[in-house]
Amino acid sequence: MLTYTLRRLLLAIPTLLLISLVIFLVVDLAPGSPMSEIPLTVPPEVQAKIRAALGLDAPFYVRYLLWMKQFFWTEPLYGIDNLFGTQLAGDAPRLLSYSSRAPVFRIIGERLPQTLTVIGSAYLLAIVIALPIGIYSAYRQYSWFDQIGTFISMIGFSVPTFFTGLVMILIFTVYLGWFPSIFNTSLRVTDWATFKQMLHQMTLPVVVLALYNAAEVSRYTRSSMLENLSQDYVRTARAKGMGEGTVVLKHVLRNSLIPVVTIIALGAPTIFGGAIVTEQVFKINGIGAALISAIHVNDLPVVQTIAFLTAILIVLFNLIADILYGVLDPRIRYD
Amino acid sequence: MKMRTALLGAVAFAGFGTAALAERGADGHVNVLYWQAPSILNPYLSSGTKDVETASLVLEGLAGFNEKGEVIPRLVVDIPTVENGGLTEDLMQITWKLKPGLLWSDGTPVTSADAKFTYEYCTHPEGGCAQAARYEGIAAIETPDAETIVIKYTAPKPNPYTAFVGATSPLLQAAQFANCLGAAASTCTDQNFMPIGTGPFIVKDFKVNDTVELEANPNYRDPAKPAFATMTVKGGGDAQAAARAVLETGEFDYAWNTQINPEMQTQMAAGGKGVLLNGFGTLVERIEMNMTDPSPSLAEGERSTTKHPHPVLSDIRVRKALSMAIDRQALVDIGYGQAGRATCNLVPAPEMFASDNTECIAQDMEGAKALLEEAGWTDSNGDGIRDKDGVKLALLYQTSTNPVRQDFQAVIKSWWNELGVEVELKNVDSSVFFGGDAGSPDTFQKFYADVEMYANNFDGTDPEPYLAQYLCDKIPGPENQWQGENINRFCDPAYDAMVEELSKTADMAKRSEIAKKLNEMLTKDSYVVVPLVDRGRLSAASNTLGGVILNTWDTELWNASDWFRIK
Amino acid sequence: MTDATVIEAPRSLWLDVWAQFRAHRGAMVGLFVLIFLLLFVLVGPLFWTKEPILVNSNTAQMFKSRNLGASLTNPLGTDQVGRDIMARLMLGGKVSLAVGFVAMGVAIGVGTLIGVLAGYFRALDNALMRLTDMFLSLPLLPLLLVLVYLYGGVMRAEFGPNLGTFFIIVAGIGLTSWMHVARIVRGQVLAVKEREFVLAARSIGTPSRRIITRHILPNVLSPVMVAATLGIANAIITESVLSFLGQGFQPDFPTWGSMLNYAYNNQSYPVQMIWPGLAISLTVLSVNYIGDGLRDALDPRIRGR
Repeated sequence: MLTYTLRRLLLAIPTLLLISLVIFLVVDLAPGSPMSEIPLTVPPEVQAKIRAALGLDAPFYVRYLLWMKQFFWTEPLYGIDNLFGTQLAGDAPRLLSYSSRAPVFRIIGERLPQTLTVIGSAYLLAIVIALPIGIYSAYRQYSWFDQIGTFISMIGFSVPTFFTGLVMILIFTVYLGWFPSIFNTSLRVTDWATFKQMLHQMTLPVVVLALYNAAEVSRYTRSSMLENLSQDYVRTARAKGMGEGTVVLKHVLRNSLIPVVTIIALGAPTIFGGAIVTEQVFKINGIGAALISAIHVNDLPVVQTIAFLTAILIVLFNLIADILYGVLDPRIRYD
Repeated sequence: MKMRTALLGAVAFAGFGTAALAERGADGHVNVLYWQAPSILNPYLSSGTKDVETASLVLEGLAGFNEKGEVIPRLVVDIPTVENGGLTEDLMQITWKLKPGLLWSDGTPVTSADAKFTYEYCTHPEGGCAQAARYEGIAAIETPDAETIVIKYTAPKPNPYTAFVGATSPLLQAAQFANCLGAAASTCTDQNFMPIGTGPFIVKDFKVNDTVELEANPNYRDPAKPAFATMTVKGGGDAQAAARAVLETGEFDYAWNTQINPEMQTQMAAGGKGVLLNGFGTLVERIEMNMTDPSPSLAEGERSTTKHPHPVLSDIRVRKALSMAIDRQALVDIGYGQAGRATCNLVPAPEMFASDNTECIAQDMEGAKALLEEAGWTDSNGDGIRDKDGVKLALLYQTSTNPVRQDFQAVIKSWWNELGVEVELKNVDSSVFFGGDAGSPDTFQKFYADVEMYANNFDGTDPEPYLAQYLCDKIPGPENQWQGENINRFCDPAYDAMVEELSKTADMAKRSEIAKKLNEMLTKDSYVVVPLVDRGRLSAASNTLGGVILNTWDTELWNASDWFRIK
Repeated sequence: MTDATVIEAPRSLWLDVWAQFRAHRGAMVGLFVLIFLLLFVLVGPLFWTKEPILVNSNTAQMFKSRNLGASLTNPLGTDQVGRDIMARLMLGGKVSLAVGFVAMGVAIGVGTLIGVLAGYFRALDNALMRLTDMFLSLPLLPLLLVLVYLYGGVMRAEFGPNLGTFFIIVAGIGLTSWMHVARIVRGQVLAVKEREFVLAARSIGTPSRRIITRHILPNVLSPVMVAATLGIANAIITESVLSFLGQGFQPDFPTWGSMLNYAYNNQSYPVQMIWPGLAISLTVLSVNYIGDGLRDALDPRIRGR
């Protein structure tokens, strides 16, 4: 298992390098220009100087190598400095955003908490509601519970989140005025009142996103359960006179959850960057919103870095899913 | 210039009475919403309005502009003029006197050395200063003593209120920014996010493109102000959500630039928690006519250059007819409502520079048709499109991508179709359209279209640099990497001569007369520029927020120190 | 099936599949809804001839016809500049569905090509599967946004505003969603390749190209068909997301996604938002049900049970 993991990790390096090059090129060779955000009142000579100061005049491979160096060397050093108060990085230039001149990782750091709380709790909630529904629907296949559950999960799966989100905002925020329309990112949960406030502003986005994710997870759970319920070992277990609860919850469930766990692991990177639409609809200043606004102002370093970080997470969670599969299913051996 | 609602006027008036009694920090917290979130608080590194305005809570210039566009003192004793001797007769030197005893928010004194440093900071060749134009034409800055700043110009400066005036050229603290000169400017993250200033507030926390937390400056020069102890400037979302948060739900006290469509203006104002404020500056949405031939059949490098005059639009009668067919008031009603008004002028304000020309306001479809007939454009083959000598009257009409602009395009196209003109619409992403990339065929400077629509304005109150954009030698072309500002390729020696004259005139009455004439030469005398809508600012303020006066000549937060809570 | 005492007339595979498909209630409803929607956007405009794009040039009339509610003349009302929403919904649907079908076609085409090449030619297998893995690791939605936003301008300049947007969106969606098809096809090809009939064909000297087209492709058809239906749903959602985020088609050229975006900017009339949103949801829902039904019908383990 260890050698397998190590081999996979080593294999991931060339993949990631290739991905970084693809991302850099796609973003960098685009025809837009970060200059478009500068008002027309700024004279052309001044614009030219700003361009030069951003380092936009260097050829692309120089900028690519610089970006790589900053991403893999300078920024981790600054991270270590921050944690342990060392001075490893010295004053090496950091990876800066074009529009705010802030270190890109500082921006990500500021955005991460709200993304993790909202998207993360939506994901957790989705799993918590999806598993029992999936299990029970499979156990009582074709019952009214299953029919309704399948239909709802089909709807949750098919109706785009931005549409459900907008309808919810119109009903609950605009007409009923139950929820705040702006997400307060500087709210710190310190006591019961702030906790309630936090819950209040998180409700709509979490519900919308959880509905969508739950639909997906419950569909997987149901089909995986169905597959296992018709296996011979279930019949054997029942024939032995084992209690129905033990059969379903202990044997069938354990085997059925193996593919579900991997699906959940594979979906995890979306917590980081994938909920772009939800953040946009509910005006949460998270990572997805940072990415969108960076795309709009051609803030190339931010776009490249967020996209690449997401790619790293995807590769990482793919690996985790594979390893989990091996750990959970003794039939699979990676040697 | 200012068209505040009567209600707000009353609120503001009532405000002055109570404000005098207030003490610093007595009114608690105020929530401000900038839906385009501030990304940096150093206006020298960003020219975005959101950044400049938020920074103005902390950083101030020596002087500023009030809501009428007049120069008002901030850090100085008074405004230097020729009359009080602060400005020399030859317009070559201006002397500013700092108020005595001024302190930075960290408690150190403000001196003339800070001003000299700021000048050096922004004019450093490697700094990429976004406001370098404010310091143009300065020969040297002298500091005879700690409270005196003498600016010497290389040529007579009829309008010397650029350097250190307004939110776009504030004073930086020399001590804080000493290590941030030139190429190091961008790496000074802490300084750029938390500048030390003289303004009513200081930055406590800054989250890029998200939130700025501020609190009252303990060393602010007026001991009774600001009335609010803390302020949050929140970013994110869109104009509608911002308007709603102030007008309907009351979550926020002030929202900047709540450009929403007219129906929603009415509907949200009915929410009763706040009012929409509007004010007009110099931003004009216009159609620019291409005086050169953009035809794709020409060789690259010759398209839209002065070598080939435009085959159709070179005739003033066609340009005039196109202008006459437009119903500007209808455009305002569709797109801007309270935040716009029909205009025929390129320079709609300040009042002293604005021409009283209104002849384009009424739509005259029949007159336009007659004019085209007279110019020889008739529909000879009955297909509904006019033609002349085998050339069809067909235009390519481009603009940047934006819902209001696309509505305008659709409506104007229908009017021009009615006139017998075939119109092809095109919209280009703003990042490309305004991107200025010499390699892209779609920039507004390259103008590979017959007509194009966008909005532009000028900085401050003096239109001279703006009008000087239409000089013959500022025509964009391959030889200058398409970087000129004379977008229409308009060229008239008489115009150039008058701009030259304007640059030598100091007398305000005379300047205003010349500027009006120049404006008319571009609009009603030639129809090279076809102004459509004078676009105002539309912001929203809560009914409980007092002291708000919308200012379009400086930052909207120009008098945040006077804001208070109405109880 | 196992009981061989009754000999039935031979039935073709597709009749079997159809019989099984018909038994899936959701899939049948989905099929009817999809056919209805297709008729609505394709045949509808022949009967409903209101102008979807141009604005009434008579300003007074145009102003009177803005933001109307439902009526006999405009069953779904009119929009911000007085255009009939039903006519726009028909045109928009045509574009949205076209994007869905064409992008799915691109994804299936690329995926099948790569899958067959990787499965059939051992030499290419490793390289192509690495490529597939790399694509699977790309952050797709961010990249798609970047692609469409940053390169849309070039395409629009090249092919005109609408066709250019269409191409970039279709290409973008197609090129970011072929990977699963490629994996499925490769697996099938690997299995089919070793079967006797392929070996027989090879032993009589049939060239690879013919083996692939005659023997292998027909056998990977079923999983590809299921992937294709789900691909349509995915493509329609992706297009609407892009348009909703303001990166896709522009308001002067309606698609369901851009209509939703446009209506969202005019929230005083929320009804304008409901119709396109409902249309997208119904389409995707019906396509997903059809996909479910097809999967059951094409699965020989389930079929005939």
